[in-house]
Amino acid sequence: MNRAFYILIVLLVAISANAQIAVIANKSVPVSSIERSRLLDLYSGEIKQWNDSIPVIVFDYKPKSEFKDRFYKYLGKSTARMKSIWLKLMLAGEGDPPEALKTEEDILNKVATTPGALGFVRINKISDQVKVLLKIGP
Amino acid sequence: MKKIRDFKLSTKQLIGFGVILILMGAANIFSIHSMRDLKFGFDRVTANWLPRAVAVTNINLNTSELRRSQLQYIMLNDAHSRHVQTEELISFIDKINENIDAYLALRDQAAEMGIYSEKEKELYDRFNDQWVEYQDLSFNFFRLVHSGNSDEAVALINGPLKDAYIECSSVLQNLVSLYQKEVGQAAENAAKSFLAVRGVTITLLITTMLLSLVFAVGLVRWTVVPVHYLEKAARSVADGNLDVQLKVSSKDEIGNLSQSFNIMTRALKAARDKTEEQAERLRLQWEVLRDTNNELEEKSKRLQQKNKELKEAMNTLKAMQAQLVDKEKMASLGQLTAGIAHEINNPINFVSSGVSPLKRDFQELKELLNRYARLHTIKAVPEELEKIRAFRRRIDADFLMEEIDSLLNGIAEGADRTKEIVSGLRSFSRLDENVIKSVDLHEGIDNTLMLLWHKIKHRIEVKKEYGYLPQVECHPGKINQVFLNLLNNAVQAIENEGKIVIRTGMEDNTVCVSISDDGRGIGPEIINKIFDPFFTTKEVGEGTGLGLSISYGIIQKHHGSLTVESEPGKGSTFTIRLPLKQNSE
Repeated sequence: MNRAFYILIVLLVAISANAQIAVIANKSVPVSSIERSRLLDLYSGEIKQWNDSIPVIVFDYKPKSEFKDRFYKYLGKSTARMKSIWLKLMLAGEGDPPEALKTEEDILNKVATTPGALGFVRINKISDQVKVLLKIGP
Repeated sequence: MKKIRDFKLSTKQLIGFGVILILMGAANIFSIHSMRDLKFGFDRVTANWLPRAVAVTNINLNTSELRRSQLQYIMLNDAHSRHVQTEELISFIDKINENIDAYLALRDQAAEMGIYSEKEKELYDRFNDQWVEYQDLSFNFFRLVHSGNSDEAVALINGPLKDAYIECSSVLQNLVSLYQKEVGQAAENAAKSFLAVRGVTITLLITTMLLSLVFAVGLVRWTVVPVHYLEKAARSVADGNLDVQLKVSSKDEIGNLSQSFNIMTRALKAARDKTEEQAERLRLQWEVLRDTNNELEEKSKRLQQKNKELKEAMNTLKAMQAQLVDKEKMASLGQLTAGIAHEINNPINFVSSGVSPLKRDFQELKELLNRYARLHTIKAVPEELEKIRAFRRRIDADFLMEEIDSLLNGIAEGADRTKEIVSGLRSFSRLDENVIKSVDLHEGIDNTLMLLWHKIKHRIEVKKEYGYLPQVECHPGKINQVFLNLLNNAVQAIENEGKIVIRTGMEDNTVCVSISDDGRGIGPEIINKIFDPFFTTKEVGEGTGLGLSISYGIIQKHHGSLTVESEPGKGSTFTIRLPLKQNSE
């Protein structure tokens, strides 16, 4: 009994630690799903417009967090490397780094209210205000 | 345990080479192993720690360059300079990232090799955070510069950015000193193991060399030296000196060889000495032989002469022996004759004493008969008849008739008895019959007893314990002679009154006849001689001394045995054993 209980606890912890990350977008975004390489292009500033009328606006988190690192890792970069990419982009005059917010709620609100916005939150935080393009994680 | 010197040479060599080989092998394996450890240590230093240190130092250098470049950036006002500066900045960022990538690759290698410490991880994580922070601040910095807020930009770059930079730099510095420590440690370890390897290798090499030296000396002592001695000794033996003996100091092949050599020389010497001695002896013997040969030839002639004489003497002796045997026969016959005379005397007395009364009776009856016959010539018959009657009364004719019958009966009995004796005698005296017959031995014993009866009857009781005896094949006369001899001896052994026991019977297909007396017996000092020819206890002239010897010979010729048991004062027992059949002859 005890053993089964401990296994359950460990599983729950593991699930919460590796909780799925949802890539969310403003409802104006003209796609319903997205691939990894395209996501990287969007985040690294390679693609700046969804279409002629809707620009791509991505959001980042200010504080250090586990799922942030995990998200960028999924894209094949470290957080520091993403920063370098944005810094170089900025120096080359090709765009500013994404706006960095503090919490997932902030991201949710921003994405919900900003046309063409793209962000990521842990899956338990999603709401109807945004649409989920991709689920990352186990 | 065997001593090493007693091992075989090949074993010694094998052991020596084996020990040296093992030591050399051990030295080599140890060296190779240690060298590998050493090389591994150096590999870690050269292939990982050093490149990592280089990467980290480069990162540090690049960040300082980036910061310097950022400081310069503020000073620039024209777009062209800024553009050029921007490219420099980007190149520094790229360099930093390249070096970070290089570092991370090396770090993964190190983690695989197990030389990536917690401490390093902690330091690197701190650097990573600071580097993120630095870039975040840089966003603001460049935003401020681009928006023309130079003062704020300067404040930022000399404030938080500087702090982040210093933090970065210090963390990287810490990493480098960590590597210095580790490399130093590795170098120290390497130096230590190098010294250990050198020490062990040198020790093993010196040991191996010493062992080789000892082994070489041993090999020389065990092989070359003894072989040298052996060669010298062999040459000496070849020169004829056979007194050489080698010292045998080991039990290996050379020891065995030396020993064999010693045995060989000793044997050679002994053989040579013996040969010389024999040659000398042979020479002497030859001389003696030559001398004696001549003597012998003479002697031979004399011997031939003597041989001739001896042959003649032998013939004479044989003749004499035959005479003696005859004499013994005669003696037996003499005894017989005495017995016969005595035995016959009685019945003949019957006859002879009966004859004269018979004659007288017949005379009177004849007179009576004559008187009756003359009756018809006489006229006075009645008177004459009366006379005859008177005569008849006088001579008592009836009594005469009876007496004649009785006398005739007596004579007939005497004659019968005589006849019986004679026939017994005849059956006994088959002395010269050389024919084998099947006879009843009891009959022979009885006849013999009859012949000796006159010596026995008054003083000796004869007890016959006859068992079952079948017919026995033998020369009856000769066997009777033996019985006579033994019984006669028994009679003579009994001085006054006594008893003779005759037992017969079968024992395992052998006929057994024993004659026991309770006479004076035979002393143990002479009992072994009684069967010798001419041995006698009787007075000279009384016995020939051949009786028992002849008896013994007779029984032996019948393939039987004649034995004696005796106790002085208690008597003797002679036992004859005869086979039932005579196979040969």
